[in-house]
Amino acid sequence: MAHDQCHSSVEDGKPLHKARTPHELIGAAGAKHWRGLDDLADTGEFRDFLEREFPDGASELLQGSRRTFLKLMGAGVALAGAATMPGCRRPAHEILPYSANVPESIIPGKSLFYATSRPLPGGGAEGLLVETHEGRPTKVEGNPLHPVNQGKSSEWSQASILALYDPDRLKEPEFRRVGKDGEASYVPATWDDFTAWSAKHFTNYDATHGMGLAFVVDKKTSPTRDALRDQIKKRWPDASWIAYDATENTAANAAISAVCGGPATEVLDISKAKIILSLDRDFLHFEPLSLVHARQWGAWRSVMGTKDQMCRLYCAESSFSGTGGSADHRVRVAPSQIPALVVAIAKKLGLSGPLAAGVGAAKVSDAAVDTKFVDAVAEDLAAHRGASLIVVGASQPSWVHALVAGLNSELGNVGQTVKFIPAGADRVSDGAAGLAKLAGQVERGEVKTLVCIETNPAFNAPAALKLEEKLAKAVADKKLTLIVQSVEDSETVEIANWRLNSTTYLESWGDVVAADGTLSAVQPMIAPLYTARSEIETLATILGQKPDGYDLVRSVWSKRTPVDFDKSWRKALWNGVAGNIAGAAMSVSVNHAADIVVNAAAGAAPSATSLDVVFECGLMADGSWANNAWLQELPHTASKVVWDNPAYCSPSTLDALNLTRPDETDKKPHGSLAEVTVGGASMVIAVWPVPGMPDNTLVLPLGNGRRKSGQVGTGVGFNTFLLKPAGAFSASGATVKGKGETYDVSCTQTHGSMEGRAIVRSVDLPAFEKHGDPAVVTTVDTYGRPKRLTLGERLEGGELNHMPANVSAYPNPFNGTRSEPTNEKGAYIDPARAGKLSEHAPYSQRVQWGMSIDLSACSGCNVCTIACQAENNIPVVGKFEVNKGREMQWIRVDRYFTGRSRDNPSGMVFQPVACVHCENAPCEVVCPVNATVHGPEGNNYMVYNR
Amino acid sequence: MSTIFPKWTNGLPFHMVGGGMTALTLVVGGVWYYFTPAFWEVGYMPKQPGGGFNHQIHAGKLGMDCRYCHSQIEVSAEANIPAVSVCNGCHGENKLQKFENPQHKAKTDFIREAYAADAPIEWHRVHKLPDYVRNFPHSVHLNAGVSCISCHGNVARMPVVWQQESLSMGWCLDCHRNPEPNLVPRAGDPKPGGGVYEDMMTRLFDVEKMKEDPAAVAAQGALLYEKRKLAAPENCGACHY
Repeated sequence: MAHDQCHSSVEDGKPLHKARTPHELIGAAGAKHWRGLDDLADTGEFRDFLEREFPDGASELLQGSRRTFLKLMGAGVALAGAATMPGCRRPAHEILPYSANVPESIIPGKSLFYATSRPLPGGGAEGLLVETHEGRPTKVEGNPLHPVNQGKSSEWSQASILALYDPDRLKEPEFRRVGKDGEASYVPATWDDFTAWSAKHFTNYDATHGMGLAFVVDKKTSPTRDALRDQIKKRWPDASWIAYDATENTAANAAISAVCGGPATEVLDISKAKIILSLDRDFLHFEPLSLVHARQWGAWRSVMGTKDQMCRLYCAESSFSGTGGSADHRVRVAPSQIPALVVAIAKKLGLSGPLAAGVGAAKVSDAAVDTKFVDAVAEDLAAHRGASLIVVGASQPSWVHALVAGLNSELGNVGQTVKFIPAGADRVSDGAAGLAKLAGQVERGEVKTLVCIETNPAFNAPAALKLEEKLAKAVADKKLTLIVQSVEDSETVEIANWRLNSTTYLESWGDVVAADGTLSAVQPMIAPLYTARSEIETLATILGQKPDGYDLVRSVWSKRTPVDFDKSWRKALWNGVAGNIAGAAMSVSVNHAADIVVNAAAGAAPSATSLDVVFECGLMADGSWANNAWLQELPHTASKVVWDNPAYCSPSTLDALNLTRPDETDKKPHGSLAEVTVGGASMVIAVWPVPGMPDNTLVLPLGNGRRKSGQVGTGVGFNTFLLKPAGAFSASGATVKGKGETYDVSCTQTHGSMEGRAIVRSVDLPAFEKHGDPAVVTTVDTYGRPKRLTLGERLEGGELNHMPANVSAYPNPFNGTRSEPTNEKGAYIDPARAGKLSEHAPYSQRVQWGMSIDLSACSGCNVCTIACQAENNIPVVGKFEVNKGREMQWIRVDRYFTGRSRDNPSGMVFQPVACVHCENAPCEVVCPVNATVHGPEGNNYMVYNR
Repeated sequence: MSTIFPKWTNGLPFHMVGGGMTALTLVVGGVWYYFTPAFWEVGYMPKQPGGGFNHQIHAGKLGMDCRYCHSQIEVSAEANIPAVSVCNGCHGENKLQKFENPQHKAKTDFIREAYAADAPIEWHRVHKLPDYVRNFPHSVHLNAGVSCISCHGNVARMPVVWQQESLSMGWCLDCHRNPEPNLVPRAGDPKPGGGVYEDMMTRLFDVEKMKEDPAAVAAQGALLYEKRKLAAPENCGACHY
């Protein structure tokens, strides 16, 4: 594969440049871009589906019976009655002004922005600015001063505002009481009760030096929490402290720490990387530094002219991620076969020294690899020493991470495109191993008190440990006191002795270090709801200290800045950033990497009877976001499935497994239920085909299938943690047995199709250079004036797809013609209010609004969808309503596959589609209640209350 | 043949038609007139704490500027109700001699009590626009030169505030279509006879006087409208967004 061509000009190895027509040349013809399997096959049913305008059942009022409807309406009428009855007059309304103490800088009616940061569960942070109205946070934005965010934010940050106001939150501490009949019940308590109880309870452990005491916390990188941890370890040296995150990348942590000679973590600098090789790593999404990666990536992709350079991304991956979709060259490789690919590339690089020797000695066969891909990648990497980058994902074993670190070092990339900085002990510790030890201790009754804060091990601990069972039994037998602090209900909360309500980051003081080492404070926007306490306040309570988050953070920070602390503290709060505290970058020992690689071994290629499985960590993360309806209704990048997490496989694998293919045009698209068995564990899960997946590989998304969550998250999807091996994100030797049953899957991929119009088009650089300039055609503009178009404009306007010229169907609303009133010199005359500044000028003479989206840079992250949802408070509709095409998000991100192969599309193209506020809006003509109207500047908008 | 229906029933259909039409007219007319904010809302005067803040004394007799209490009205969409601390500035302990007088003291005790307790005073809302008139921007109207009086009536004559105008959408549009009579000069605007106005307040209560010569007011308003480059929007999205 020639590496100077991107995917749009390369089709099944054959360049399209010999194509004869411009249509083929620019890839605008036929089914070059398609959204689903039915779309590609162009089945009759799919055409029917498109032409019907609405899917079957869309006119049914509600899911459920007429009784449900009457019930809902009854409540609505009662509500309306309650609101209007008192005296046929509006209800009396009080205005409560501030009293003696007026908060500084609050002006009623004006929003205030405060800087804070959101700790990420696996470590790292995002720096945010939060909009508040009279002390209530309403919207989260990225902090422009924070080096990670630089004004941007992730989908989780956007959705976190919903989590704050979640009615399912734990509202008060409760403790478990067993009655005389042996029935356990939960008794409401207060934090004072817990404080009094814990003072007595934990003092007992002073005598045993903490023997029998254990803490399970999440992998937060918080200096204040670390300080409290150190105090706990000092007071109770024999207590165990386990930092566990179900999505922790154990393999990478172990390898990088070994290669760097100490706990370390990786920081990429894509802005310097001209050649990037991504091995099963979705580095543009779902990582602590994804925002940085995406920004640097987008800068490479924003080509303003033919002279601008792009970086080149090679991708070998086992799922179809947004990163793979953005790649220039992508190959689908089963997770067990990626090591062979790396080894082949390493050999092809022609290195000498210990690493080359180690690679040569590794027992990994590279016979079956795609040699064209390997040759191209190796040539490019070798030609860009110091300006290339290899990254590897969590699905790979530890030795591959070590090998890649070694290769980056040999290529001179370390210190240029990648660096390794020291990491806190909690962040790189092996939490799964810690839990394994804990499970044994709980079973043997050695742990008497277990404190779980912001973690849910009963749900997402390695399933083989059977930790939930053991904890529940120990609690029931009164051998264990389980104290669980959580914001929301969870499987672990359910069995706890003490259920403590926790705060979100928007209501508590704290601090956190981002994955690049930036320290920032967590500043509350509002007093804790339900008088909850934060994690550090709970730890302080257990230690018998005053639970005041503000003082705790300040006491830790004041040690860092003893001089002029108040000033630096205020500055840090104001800016939301307190500087980078990362240690000096660490060097990579190629010898250590070689030592690890020597003993490497790789498995055989998967088959239909022995499949590979990969665990995908996406929107739900470790399951903690399952109760967030905005995130549940956000479509999966590749499959566009919502409210679910079926197993994904390639269409051919689905056929090979004798599972029925879902009919996407059906009223309720069905996935086939199948029993997946891997490593002795098995579960029943729906299987759903996704083009571009390697054959004989299943992707299992993590985080859904919560047995006990809130109203939203309980029972949604499948708990794939049941199959996940401890400390690994892939496994081999899986078998799949069809159950012969179907399962409803909601998928938005066919909603809103191109219907023959080439809405999305792609052109590669050689074609652009050849055809980008000359003005080639004369046409008419919207109001009938002649206009010369360049190829680029023809692409935009749709002419190359034999669409009619984009002439308005409606006459100019101001004079009944298709042209605007002008005087003899051609200047515009305002007939309404000549000489006055009027809002009745025709649109072309007034402010024109425009917005363009750079599709070359779009990596399909979906954050625009959820940001729009958060800004406009757009409701979610739920799984079954989505099936009827009733999703209400105002921005959707269309995803098209490229190429003609069902199993191996050459790429993925993303196209965000928002309301374009048309000048000649078709919705305006048909709206019976004038809810959609025109503004004075020609843009269309909604009148909400209509 | 005996008559089943007495003779008077002959006229019944006509009476029924006539009566029906009259009833219909009354119903339509009744709804037309009575189901309006002009009927239901105008004159709304809820009971206020402490007998109500007497605008007649403060703004009228003492001539206090509205903005002394509604201090953020020129910068914010919302017209702020003053904090208790503002009331306490004059009515607090040892502030004004007058309030040592037991008669006055009793009337204003609720202020000092609220201040001491750091509790808000629960004023009853008089003017209320529906939620879907988003954030009615007081600052924009004020800065365009619309007098308080245009919407709230001459509060300086109200011992207890009542609602003077209907605040209906038709009423809003009346002004947006013809804003000139409601524009008052601000500080710095030229006086017709030469010189400049020192402050908006100096003209605020002239609005009533101005009504005596509507033509002059409209002419001056038209000048202000042009000078300030105003464009009172009439599109739906200006208020409903």
